[in-house]
Amino acid sequence: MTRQTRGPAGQTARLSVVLAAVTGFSFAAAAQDITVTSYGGIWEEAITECYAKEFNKRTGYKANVLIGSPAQWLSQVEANPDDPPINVIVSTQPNVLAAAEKGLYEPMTEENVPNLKDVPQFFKDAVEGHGACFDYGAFIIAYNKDTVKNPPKTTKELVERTLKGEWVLTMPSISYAISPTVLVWGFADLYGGDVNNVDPAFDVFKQLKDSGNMIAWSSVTDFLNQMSTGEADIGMYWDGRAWAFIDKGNDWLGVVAPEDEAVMTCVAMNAVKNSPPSVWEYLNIVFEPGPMSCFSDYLQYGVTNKLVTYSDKLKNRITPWDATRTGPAREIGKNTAAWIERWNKEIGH
Amino acid sequence: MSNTTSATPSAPLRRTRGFAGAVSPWWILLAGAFLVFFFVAPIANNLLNTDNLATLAERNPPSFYYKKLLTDAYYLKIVGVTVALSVGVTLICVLVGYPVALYLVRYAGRWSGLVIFLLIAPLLTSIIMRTFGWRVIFARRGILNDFLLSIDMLERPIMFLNGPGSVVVGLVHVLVPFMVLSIASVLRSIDPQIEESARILGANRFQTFLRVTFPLSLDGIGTGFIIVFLLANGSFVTLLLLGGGELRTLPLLIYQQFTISRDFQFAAAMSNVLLAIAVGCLYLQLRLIRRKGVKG
Repeated sequence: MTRQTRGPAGQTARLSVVLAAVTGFSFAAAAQDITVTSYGGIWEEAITECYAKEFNKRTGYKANVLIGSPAQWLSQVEANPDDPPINVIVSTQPNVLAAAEKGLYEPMTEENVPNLKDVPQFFKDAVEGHGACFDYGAFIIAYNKDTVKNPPKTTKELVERTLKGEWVLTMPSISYAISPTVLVWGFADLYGGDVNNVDPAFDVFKQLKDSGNMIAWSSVTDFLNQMSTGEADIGMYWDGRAWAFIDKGNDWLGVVAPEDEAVMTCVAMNAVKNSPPSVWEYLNIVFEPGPMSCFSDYLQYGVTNKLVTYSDKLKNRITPWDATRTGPAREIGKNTAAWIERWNKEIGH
Repeated sequence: MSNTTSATPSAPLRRTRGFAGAVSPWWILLAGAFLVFFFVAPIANNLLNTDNLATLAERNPPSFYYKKLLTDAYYLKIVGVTVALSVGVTLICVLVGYPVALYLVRYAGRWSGLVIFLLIAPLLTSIIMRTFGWRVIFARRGILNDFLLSIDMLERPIMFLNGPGSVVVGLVHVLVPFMVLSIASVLRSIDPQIEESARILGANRFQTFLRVTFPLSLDGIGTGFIIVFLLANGSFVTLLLLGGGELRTLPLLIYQQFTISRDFQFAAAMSNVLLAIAVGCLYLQLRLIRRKGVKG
């Protein structure tokens, strides 16, 4: 017996035990690894550097960052809710409400994400208590300083001077995910309508379209391409992305926060049901002042933990959330399909 | 074994039989099962789609969407634009591609390899890069406008982009190699002696082309037509990047439904209509080719 144990068979047995221990450990580790999501471009860099790496440092588990869009991620989870391929989803307010009501998300409270206690109620209400928004952006005016010497101060002035033919304006296409909020609701609200009466927005965009001075951008990079190639002189865009572009040496781009209040939308992160418990640690990191500040430095967007202190550079750039307009996410979500159809028929891009 | 390798007149036939015999019915069954599982079943699911996906929008039965697509004037127009764009692009590809294919086969000689490389080279780069190249050229302050302004042909820049013209140019650029290669492969199989015979019998070059070469190459045009039409019918990136939303087709609307409305039922209905259009056009084209093409 002793000889057998010491012989090759015994070595194999011992090796098997060691392997089982090692692989068992690695399976346990893998079971706590998570897949998180991010939009493309600088978003991916920020999510990886500020959140995923921090998560790995603290827990030893890996957070794989998946690039895409909320609609795509939700579809992937809906296809396999019992063993979801994604554990944390970044998404817009209407998508959070729809997914939470469908039961795709775990309830997110201060018990499992303690840092939520420092997030203003406003950002929890924005997603009706299904967690909270972690960052927000204001839809501002960005212009080419070389071709627009006297930029407009308000959104209404932007519209009036576009109709006069002073420049070529680029606005998001209706095929851009946030357009129902920033275009349809945003302009309806600005011109005296509301979520149930969006005629004023359609009237404005019909005029802009008929003027021949408006084109459309289909993605956030498309806007920058149009401005860089001179296709457009001025447009409406996200404040953070505009500043990030300027900081990359494009100081010909100027930014105006409209005095008639920019539309603000915020982005939430939620834990998908049937995910490993480590998702809560990840989400707690997301809402923690340090990593959030890191995220904000990358994207130049406002973040929602009130304990975050912005760098001097960002202080003057980030539009205060209480100086913006926000739409009713649920009603916008309910009306999106109808608005898109109407836009297709009446405006066309 | 010896039968199949012996140099008897029936040897090739035997080899053919041998090849056919080598294809086991199980392989055919496997291929059939693959098609059923990955093609027929998804389409059937699409047809009967009553999904229950996360959305705040109101749900409707599938018939609601088909009715809307087939009765609403707007959607009928979109269907018409989709077909017209695909047919238009395909015809332009024939007009552009045929001379290139003819040159490649009949006149390029030792340069034919280079011509084929030049044709295929653009396919090696991403369609997005190729399409973006057109944006740089067509931009309001782009190369084309700058040139036209510099020679005083324009007083102010023209918007070349964001319209049907730029989309057609982009699609033709992307798809014309498929047409050229389809036509060239058939032209290459035409015996030049047939054309020479026509010339000897008194036909001039144009008559020879019109009455001999062109009819004999109809199969190549037909093949190219089908490939280009189907690719144009489902094209999406070029429309998105060069059309600026001004030219709306079914693929663009499907994209909207998937990414913004999350109305998968409407998207499924649209994709089924698009598929039906593609199959219908394919059937018509095949009938046309059989009628006009070279018989046996």
